[in-house]
Amino acid sequence: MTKIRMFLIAALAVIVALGVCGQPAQAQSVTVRNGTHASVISIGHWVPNASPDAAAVVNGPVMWDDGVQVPPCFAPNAPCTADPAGGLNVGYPLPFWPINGSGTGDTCNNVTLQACGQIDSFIETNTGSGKVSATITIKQGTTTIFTYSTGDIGTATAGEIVAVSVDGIQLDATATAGTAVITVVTKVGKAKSTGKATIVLTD
Amino acid sequence: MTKTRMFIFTAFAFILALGAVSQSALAADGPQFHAVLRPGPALSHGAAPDAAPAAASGITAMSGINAAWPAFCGSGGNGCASDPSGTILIGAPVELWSLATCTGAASSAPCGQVYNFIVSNTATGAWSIQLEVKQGTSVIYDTGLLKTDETFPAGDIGYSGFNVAFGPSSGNCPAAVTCVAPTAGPATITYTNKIGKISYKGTQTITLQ
Repeated sequence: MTKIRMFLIAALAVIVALGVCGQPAQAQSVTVRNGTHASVISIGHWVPNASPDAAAVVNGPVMWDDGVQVPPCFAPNAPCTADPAGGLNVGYPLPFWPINGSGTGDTCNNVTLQACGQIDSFIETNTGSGKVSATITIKQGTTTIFTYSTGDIGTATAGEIVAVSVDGIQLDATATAGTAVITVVTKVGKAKSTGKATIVLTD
Repeated sequence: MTKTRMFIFTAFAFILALGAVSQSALAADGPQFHAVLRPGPALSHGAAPDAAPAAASGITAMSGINAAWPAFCGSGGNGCASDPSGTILIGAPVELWSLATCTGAASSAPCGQVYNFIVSNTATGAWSIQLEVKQGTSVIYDTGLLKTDETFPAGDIGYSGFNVAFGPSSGNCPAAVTCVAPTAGPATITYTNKIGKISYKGTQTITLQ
């Protein structure tokens, strides 16, 4: 094996290792209010050959589930250390949230003060950096049935995938069966990004 | 360099070569997708399927390609048995995609995966899927409407996804559609699920740079 080939292979290994491993995921501060919990988790990303010419913060998907309330886990960081790098462990995406149901843990209504549901919102920073905060609003038509502002719950730097996770959601008593729109406005420093998703509330 | 190191580097290069070859082979055969149904617990713990026939879907765009994703976790889980039951393992959502590796103008090797999740309430029937990516009015990727082998029962969760490249190369567009080369800037993903006679569309924006 020539020195040139050795160098090329070694360089390739370093590049791949940097791209795959990135930086360890960092779980940052958690806030609590009336059973609603919010956390932010970030991990480095790598866009090969890309120049930072897009918006400072780009919005990603807003996901939802009504059952397993575990924060998103960027593999292979704890607790999902057995998963391959680049993977993301999250709850089943379930957009049908029961209200006033008869089953255990299926009532999202504030009348009984039971919380349900989790919203995971993802953004990707390009040049944006600074303190991370988010405001989550759920509306049915013009009626707000849930709103929550996290305050500053961590920091993000340029070139990161950031997950803002909110669980223990208590909908207002005015919530009714039907479609509801989730809006998540995330701020990183002075940059702002908005994501939306739709869920269906069922009796 | 020791023999052990030489062996490790050689094996590593071999694995990379295999990965590159298999991706190209996949793209040459047209849109590569997988679609699977899982029982949805949404309707099994107190919620009656009394809402209007409806479905909600979410899209995740990812840059990593892993044939095992999405995996359903927990005991007996395929590829993520140590994760909690009721969770899935997918690729981390990446919204910034590199044009240098995602253009199909010179190569049709897939550069990323796009997944969709859909839960039907009362809709049932044959399940078809379509992924279209546009920049403005220009189409840079389109699978056409593809029929899966699955029949959707009410309350199930449907996961489907494609390995994609963008641009006019073979396999990136159906015969009736002309795809153009992607450019730097936002691109809108539109994911269509057709269950029975009802179509549901979801959108997500990514940025090519």
